[in-house]
Amino acid sequence: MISRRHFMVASAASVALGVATPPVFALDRPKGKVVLTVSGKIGIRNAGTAAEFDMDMLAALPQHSFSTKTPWYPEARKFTGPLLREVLAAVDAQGKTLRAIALNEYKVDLPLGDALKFNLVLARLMDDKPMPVRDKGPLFIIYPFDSDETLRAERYYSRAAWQVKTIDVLE
Amino acid sequence: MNGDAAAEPVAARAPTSRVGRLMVLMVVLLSAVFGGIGWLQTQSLALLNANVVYQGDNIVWSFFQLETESLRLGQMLHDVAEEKQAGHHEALRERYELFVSRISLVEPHRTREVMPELEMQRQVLTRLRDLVSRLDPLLGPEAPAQIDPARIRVFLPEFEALGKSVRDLSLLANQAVAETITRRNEAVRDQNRIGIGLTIFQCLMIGAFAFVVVRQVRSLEQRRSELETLALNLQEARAEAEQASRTKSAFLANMSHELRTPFNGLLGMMSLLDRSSLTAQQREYLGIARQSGEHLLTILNDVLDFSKMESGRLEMVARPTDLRQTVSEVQALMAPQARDKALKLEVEVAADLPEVVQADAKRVKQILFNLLGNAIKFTDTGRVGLTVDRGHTSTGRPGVRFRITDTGIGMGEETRTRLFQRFSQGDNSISRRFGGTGLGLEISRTLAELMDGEISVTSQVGRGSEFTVVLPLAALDPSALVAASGGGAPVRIGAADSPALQLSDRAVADTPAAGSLQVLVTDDHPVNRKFMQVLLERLGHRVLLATNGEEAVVIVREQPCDLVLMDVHMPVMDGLTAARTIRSLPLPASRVLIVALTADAFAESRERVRQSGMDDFLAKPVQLHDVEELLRKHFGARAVGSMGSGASPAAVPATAPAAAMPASHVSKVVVATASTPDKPARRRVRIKPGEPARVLDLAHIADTCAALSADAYRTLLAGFMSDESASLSGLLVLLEQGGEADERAKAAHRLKGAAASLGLRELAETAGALEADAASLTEESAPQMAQHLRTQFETAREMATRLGWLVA
Repeated sequence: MISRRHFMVASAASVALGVATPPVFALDRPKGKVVLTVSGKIGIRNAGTAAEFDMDMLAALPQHSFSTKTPWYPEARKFTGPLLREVLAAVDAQGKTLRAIALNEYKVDLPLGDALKFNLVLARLMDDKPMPVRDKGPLFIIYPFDSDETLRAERYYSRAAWQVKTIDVLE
Repeated sequence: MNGDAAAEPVAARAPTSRVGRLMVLMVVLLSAVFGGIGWLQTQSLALLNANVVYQGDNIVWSFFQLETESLRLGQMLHDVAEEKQAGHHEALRERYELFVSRISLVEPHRTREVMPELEMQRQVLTRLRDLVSRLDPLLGPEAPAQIDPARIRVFLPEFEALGKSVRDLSLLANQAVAETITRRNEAVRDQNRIGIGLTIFQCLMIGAFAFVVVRQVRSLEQRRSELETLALNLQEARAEAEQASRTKSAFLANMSHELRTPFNGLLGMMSLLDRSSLTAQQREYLGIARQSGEHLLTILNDVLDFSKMESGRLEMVARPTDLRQTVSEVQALMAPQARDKALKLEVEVAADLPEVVQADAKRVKQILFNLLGNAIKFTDTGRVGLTVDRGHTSTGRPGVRFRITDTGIGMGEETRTRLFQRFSQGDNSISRRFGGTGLGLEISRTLAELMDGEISVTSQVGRGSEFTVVLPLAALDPSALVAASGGGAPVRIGAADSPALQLSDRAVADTPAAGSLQVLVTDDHPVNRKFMQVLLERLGHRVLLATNGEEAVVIVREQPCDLVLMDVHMPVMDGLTAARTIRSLPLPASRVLIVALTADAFAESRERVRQSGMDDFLAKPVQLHDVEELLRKHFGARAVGSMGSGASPAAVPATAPAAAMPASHVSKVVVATASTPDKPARRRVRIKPGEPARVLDLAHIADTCAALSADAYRTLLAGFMSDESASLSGLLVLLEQGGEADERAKAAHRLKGAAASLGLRELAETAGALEADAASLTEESAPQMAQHLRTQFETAREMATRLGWLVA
């Protein structure tokens, strides 16, 4: 149910933005270094049981930017990257929960609903620059904390995983 | 509540200020409490918010991560330095990057909000940054792909030492955060304690508030019930007072009525006395006595009117009235008074005034008599004026305006304000000089109010006064007057400026032909019938006779009558039934004017009379002026005929009837009286002084002689004394041989009526008492009563004979 809605939302967004996105039922193989692996209940794969992305593939998806204050920086920072739901649409994710796994094996679960409800960004640029690992890169799931008061809570700060390398789509 | 009942009134006496202050204090305290609670809440929220932002990425967790990454990197550096795991350089770089990324997490700008900045933290961070700056050329993003284990090895001891410091820092930070959390918890606990304290205080305040409110409500409740009881008591007291007042007024009315009769007698006697031969001094004394008597009678009439108003017995009977004629009559009657004081009486009637209005003429005249009488009384020189035109009441109702002006003494502001007050005279010094009851104006005002009108006054001391009466009298079509008076054109009497005497002269000259009425007299007693017949015929009317109600109904059905005089108590069919029957006849018979003849003067019987459909009421014994007034009221001046409309003072309450009796008639009586004292009497009875007045109603007799002629009276009296109608003998038989109380009462009633008509006062009174007490007569008292009646009858006969009214 959720996946279908998600699918429809993603398609509608693609059409509305008029971007020449690759068809959702096909995913290129990564050419550069793999920075994100999506596994679990997904409909589209390009590497065995998983879908792998290099940075160019993520950059090819529609990009979204916003600035927000976070607990990790003293100042507001600008984050840029594809919306998380676009990424999930690209792999036809069908579960209910996303398990984000960081480079140091940090794990956190966030409901797939968050990606649909809020404009969650899988940030790959901070202040328009690529994010090195020492600066919480290369990928950072970031909530638009400044746009919604309810997001400024422990629950959402803990879900904002950084140094993400894998997203496991769970039942 | 201390439940002390005696303390209650004290609390109730000064509650408002004390309770008010208490309320204000409570409101202030409650506001303070709410303010405090608000402040506490804000503080708690701030505390919570501060924690929320940075607690997220738990600070202790950050130190722990740094420690972990440091250990992992240390292990890997060790492995690479020992070249245990060749080719893991890429993994080492990533591990190094991860380690570096954790350093920024423990920087003071992140930890400041949750824990104090530690000296050790600063030192460790400096050392870490220093190490990173030296390791970057070896492991950082810009470093060459190949890592030299030898160069790594150099760093190993330093890194291990730093690892220990990082662990120590982690533990210290843990303690510091725990300390902070404890402090925060304590703060929260303190705030909670204060909050609980404030809440308890708030509860207490609300409790106190509720207590005060409950007490207030209870005291209000008590006050309300007290007020209710008071109101109830007052209501009862008022009802009682009103009842007492009504009873008193009724008593006064009856008393006045009772007083009037002997007064008339007194004045009548003086009148007779005046015609006898007297010395000049005696005549002077008599004149003074008569003036006093007349004055007293005026007052009595005022009191009677006033009492009637008070006891609610005064009724207004509005009929189509010729307004100009009414004014002319007033003018005619006031003219002599004005002339006596050499005042000019000017009457002016506006041309656009309606000819006929709906009004109780008698009461309108009474108001005008009062006001004009006052004006004349308080004016020594100059003029008294009456102006009648159209006007409006203060509420805007159209009507007739009467203005009474004078050039008299006038009055000041203070007097004017007290003018219409009950029982107060305008000015005591003046009233002593001019006399009067002070009721005249009050009566006038009450009468005007009963007619929905009003009276106002303007005045200036020494310049005179102007009274304005506005009565909302509805204008009628002139034909209404014709309909009401039963045919014939209303006699319209001249222009307003025609002198009063001329007016009355002309009225007398005009009347006999124009004013003849067809009158049906219904009475079971022949004396009464005869009396009424003679009286009416002398007034120039045609008379039909009926002996009971049934006969009256037959006559009314067969021939047109203008007026039916109806005795109330009659055999076969009584007057009430007869009136009802007549009212149910087809038109025009049912419209005939019916006037009751009754000896009852009480409102209750009047009410019964009215309910039966009769229009008016004539009290027995019937007096000439009563008949005149009745006819004038219903048919206008024309109906009074040659007995003298304007010349008769009968309508003027201020003048005793006997005093104004036409001289010619009186002299006849006097002649008769004077010429017979020496005639042989059947029996010489010594008549004591005062006895004639007790036995005979001389004023009534004088009136009757005046109305009928002395001869007619003598005939009637002779008929009665020979007991033609068996009035007395019938009653005596019933008394002496036993009879039903009902029968006795009826017979007594008949005797009473006849005796009263003939002015046999004592006999009439005894018969009246017998009528009232017929039921209580015993076997012993009945013959006594018969004997008593017989004696009185003989006394009356003897006296009449001695006076020469009967042939012995």
